[in-house]
Amino acid sequence: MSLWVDKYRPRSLDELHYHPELSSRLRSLSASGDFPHILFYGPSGAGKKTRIMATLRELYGPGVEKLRIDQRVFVTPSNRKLDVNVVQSNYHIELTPSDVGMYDRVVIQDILKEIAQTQQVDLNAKQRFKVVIINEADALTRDAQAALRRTMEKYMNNMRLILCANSTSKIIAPIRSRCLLVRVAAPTDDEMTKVLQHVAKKERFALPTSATKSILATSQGNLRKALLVFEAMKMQKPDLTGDLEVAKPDWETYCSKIADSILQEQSAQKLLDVRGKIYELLSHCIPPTVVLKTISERIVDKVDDALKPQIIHWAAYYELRMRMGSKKIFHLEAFIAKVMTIYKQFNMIGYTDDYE
Amino acid sequence: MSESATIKPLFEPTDIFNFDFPTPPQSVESTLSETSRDASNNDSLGMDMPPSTSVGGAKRPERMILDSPTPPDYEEEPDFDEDELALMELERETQSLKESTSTQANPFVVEDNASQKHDFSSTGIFEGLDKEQPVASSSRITLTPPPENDLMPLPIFQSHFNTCTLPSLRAETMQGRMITFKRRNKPKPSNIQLHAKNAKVNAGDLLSVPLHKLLAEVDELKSQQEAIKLQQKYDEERRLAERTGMTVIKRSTVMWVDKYRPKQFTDLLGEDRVHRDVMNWLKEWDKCVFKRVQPGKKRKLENENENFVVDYLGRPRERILLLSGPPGYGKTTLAHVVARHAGYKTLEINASDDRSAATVSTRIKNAIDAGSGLASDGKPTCVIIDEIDGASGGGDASFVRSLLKLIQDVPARKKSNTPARPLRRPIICICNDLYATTLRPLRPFARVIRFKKPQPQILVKRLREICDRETLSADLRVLTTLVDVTSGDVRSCLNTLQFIKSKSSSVTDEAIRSSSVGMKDSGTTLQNVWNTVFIPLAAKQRRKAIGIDDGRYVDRLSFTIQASGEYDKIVQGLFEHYPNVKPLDASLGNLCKVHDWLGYYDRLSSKVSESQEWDLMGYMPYAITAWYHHLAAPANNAKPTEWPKADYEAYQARIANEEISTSLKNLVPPIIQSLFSTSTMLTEFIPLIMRIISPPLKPVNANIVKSGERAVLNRLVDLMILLGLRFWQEKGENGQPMMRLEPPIDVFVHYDGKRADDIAASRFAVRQLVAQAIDAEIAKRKGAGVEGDGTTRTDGFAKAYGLKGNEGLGKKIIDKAELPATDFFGRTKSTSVPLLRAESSDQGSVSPALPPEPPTKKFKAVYKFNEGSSSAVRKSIKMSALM
Repeated sequence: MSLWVDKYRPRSLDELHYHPELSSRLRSLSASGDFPHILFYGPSGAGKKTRIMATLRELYGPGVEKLRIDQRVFVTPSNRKLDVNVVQSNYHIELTPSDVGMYDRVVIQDILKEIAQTQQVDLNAKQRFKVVIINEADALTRDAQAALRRTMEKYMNNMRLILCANSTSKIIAPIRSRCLLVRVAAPTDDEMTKVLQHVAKKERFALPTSATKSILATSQGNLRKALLVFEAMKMQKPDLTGDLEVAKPDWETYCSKIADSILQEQSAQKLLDVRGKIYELLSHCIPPTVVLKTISERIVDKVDDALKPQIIHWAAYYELRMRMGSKKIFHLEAFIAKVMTIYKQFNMIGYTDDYE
Repeated sequence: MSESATIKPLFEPTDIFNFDFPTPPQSVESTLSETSRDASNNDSLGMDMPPSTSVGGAKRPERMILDSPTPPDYEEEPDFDEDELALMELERETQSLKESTSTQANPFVVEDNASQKHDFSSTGIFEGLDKEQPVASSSRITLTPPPENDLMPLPIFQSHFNTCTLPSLRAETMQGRMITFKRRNKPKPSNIQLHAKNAKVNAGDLLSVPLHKLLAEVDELKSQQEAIKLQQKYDEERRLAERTGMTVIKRSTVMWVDKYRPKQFTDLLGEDRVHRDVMNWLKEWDKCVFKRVQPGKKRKLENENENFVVDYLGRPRERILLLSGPPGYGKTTLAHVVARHAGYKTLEINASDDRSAATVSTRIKNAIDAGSGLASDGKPTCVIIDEIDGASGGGDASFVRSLLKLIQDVPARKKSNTPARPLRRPIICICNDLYATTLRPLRPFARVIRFKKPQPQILVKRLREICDRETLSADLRVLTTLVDVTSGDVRSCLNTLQFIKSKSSSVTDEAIRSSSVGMKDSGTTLQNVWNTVFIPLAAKQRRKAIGIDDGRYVDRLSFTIQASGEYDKIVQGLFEHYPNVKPLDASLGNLCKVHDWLGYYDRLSSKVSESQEWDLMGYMPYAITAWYHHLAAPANNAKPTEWPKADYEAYQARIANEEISTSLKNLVPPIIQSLFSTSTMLTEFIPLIMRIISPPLKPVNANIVKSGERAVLNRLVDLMILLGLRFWQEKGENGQPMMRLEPPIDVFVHYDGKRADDIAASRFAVRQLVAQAIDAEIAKRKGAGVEGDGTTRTDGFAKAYGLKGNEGLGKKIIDKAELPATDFFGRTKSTSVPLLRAESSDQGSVSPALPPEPPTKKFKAVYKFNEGSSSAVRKSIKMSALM
């Protein structure tokens, strides 16, 4: 008994519901005995992790499903001790660099060296190498990525890397060139419906199409989220009939509220009000980029078509600025001020081409 | 007859020598004329020279006649004690000497002088030189016996005739009576030597060196001396010149600040009130220190005494005085002046001294305890601790802490029974920043006196006086400007004036303007900086401030900002305040401009902090300065910038929430951990899980739940066990029992303090129901778990099992017994957090139970005490336990 996300997760490559051609390729790769470093990339909830686990199972057999958590201690150059929980099986180890913040280089170096310098102990193992999975590889700092590049070549005998990222843009070129890039596209609505129906069938109830639609609308190609929403709906309203309220993360609701208040009034006072709300979001540990993205999406939904490109433009501009700076709130507020200005101008004097 | 003959000559030399001593220089010429008179007169020095006696004898009666009044003494008191007689004789002689010298330049004198001269000039060589060359003959003059040498022989020898070289003296009175003066036995070897020498000189009547050679030598000597004299004169002049030069430099090295430091209470600049406050405080110590009470203050003190406990030593309530104010306002001077005025000796401890806890015990305590030492002129010591805000170090051993102990009479060692020596002397502390963190513990125990700017008029007047005295011409207007520039810093004013004085003799506006000397680089408060950015200079200020027209604000602002240095704090304050300021134009255009600058600043600062590019730091003030152009308005005066706190509050909230999400992440099974990264955990997992675990359940007894709801409940229980979520009962703030979710991930669905709409309010009864169901399920699983059916679910299961073990059991021993069981399933770490929480939160429900030992299948009864329930003990036995 587990969450549906886990319970109906395909365990092997054969069970995967979509991207069959990708599955066959992964199968042949793992069979070839010449398994490369792989960089999986694609939007969140598209099934990267599921495919990785399935590939590992293909490589090593069901043993990879036996996960355990190890607590490791790393010492930073500044003599700070870092406690990191590492998920691992006998055959692979998973790292999430964002857990350790700016010290990811130390962790990467330590773990990779340790793994690379020890041979596979299990004689029955199908492969001589171990696999290191790096989640959120795009969150790796430049230093850490640089630390990776040589290790990847040097310890090829004992270790393979599987990187998992949302976008390759933040991965440095040397690493990209050393990896086999595998793109996992988000499932289409049909594919998602198929999966949802599959789950419903297994759980022995019928899924009304209206419910499916609302789930698809809110999850936007994120199957993981879709399944969670699905389960939440099922828990809240077991019969899934009538006026369904789609379970939505609270911060998203809150972001739409912010978007509303931005468009409602453009003044310094409102800006102050919005700032409080943004602080509220940030204090709930919602990543600033996600906040910016969600708010701009909500605004784009609501404004005149003529303004949409501008707002996207400025969202991109301020997100870039945010990544270059350190105080996120400054840039979030700058974006909001900009949107307010544009919107106010548009309302007062009509459309102006303001990209600068 | 023979006797008288011997006596007469003996009198001679004494007389001659008596006259010889006070020889007036003018008589020299006359002596020269008579030098030839008797060459043998020099022999009179020798006492046994008969020829001279005739001369001396001829004179003696005359002398005797001159001092006619004296002789009767000899007659009438012949039996006088010899000593007395000698004294009388002495007196008489000196008297006669005076008379002779004062009344007449009598022939005797001339003669005597002549005779004396003849001692050495008898050769005739120096006749011509004598007058103009006293130097050359000086060595011989010294040869002439000093008066006492000559007088001494006078007294009569009384005994040991054999030892005395001289015979006794005899004299004949006018009546013809003979008196014998015995000589005192007092050999004078020097005398003898002298005579010998003289004899030698006399013996050299014939020169060993030819006269012309001697003359040549003399010439050479003369010229040499001339040269030496010239050289000396030159040296003297040069030295004099040097010394005057030195004094010029010396005078200028005295700082005017020190030179014109007020010495008296009445000289002090600034507010009288402050001075009097300080003085009053110091006077309050009088009772303790000087054991006297100020009469004038008595009644007032009594009134105060009603409010606070009287100190048994009569010390003021605050035993320490804290003077605070910007530099250059005269705090240190005031402290010193007042302390001296009140009769104390001061001991100053400033930043140049070592200021550790040890200092307090060694220097301060010693100074205070020692009381009046030698150096203190009997005055008690008043300790002045200057620049105390710079005293380093926090913690227990810091300077301020130990100072605090001192003033609170805390014993040095905690356990010692002897009470601490109470503080009996005043301590004055001086600081610039009253709110320095190091001073925080001290403030409650100190009387704080703040310094204000001295009134510009008074200061200007004083400066004027000083300028007058230093002959530096300065008009009042210029001095007023100076005072403005330095914002009342007297020290800075004086230094600037002295600086200007070193260049020219008059102070001009330009001199002050051009020299940035007057601008002191003092730290400004953040509030000040914020105001500077938001509020433009008032027109009046603008006129006053040096050469500033408001169009050129960049220098002024960047200077202020740089002086503060805390860019981050400044920006944060500005950022949090700017929406409140007035001149936001309707199109919000300036807002975007401000944000452009803000973004620029942020990029700079992150570059500086991340890659240590300190070069960029120099540009940061300008990024802040640019705000002025867009936002400054006089109306902003009404809304002062508040201390920024929103950012920090948000940060703290975020840290707390991150902690919660981490604790959840450590509880969930590894596959979930692996599927959800940290960010997706927060954005997707937690919000939706919160919905999943709050189904609309009705609060009914678990036994009569409908089948549909039963399924939901079972599923819920499963999930909660899986995810490590629990409900714990605890008392709320209002005393109501409540079920709390642990870990409290429900904070993530609470925005603005409100729960999301689509989550049904989870009622206490429902949660209780769920909690019971979870307990039951765990117990059941434990039974099943013993049979060892954990395959893929082992992890969650075992955790549940481990949790169970810790959950129901209150006693620690049982916990320990239980722990191996968790090890059996290989899961120990993740349970540690709930274990602790369980113990801390589980006060209400005590459920003693038998320690279950999983390997040997034992049944256990679970007792649960429910607070407030009538059936206090509920015993629940599972079916599995009976079978």
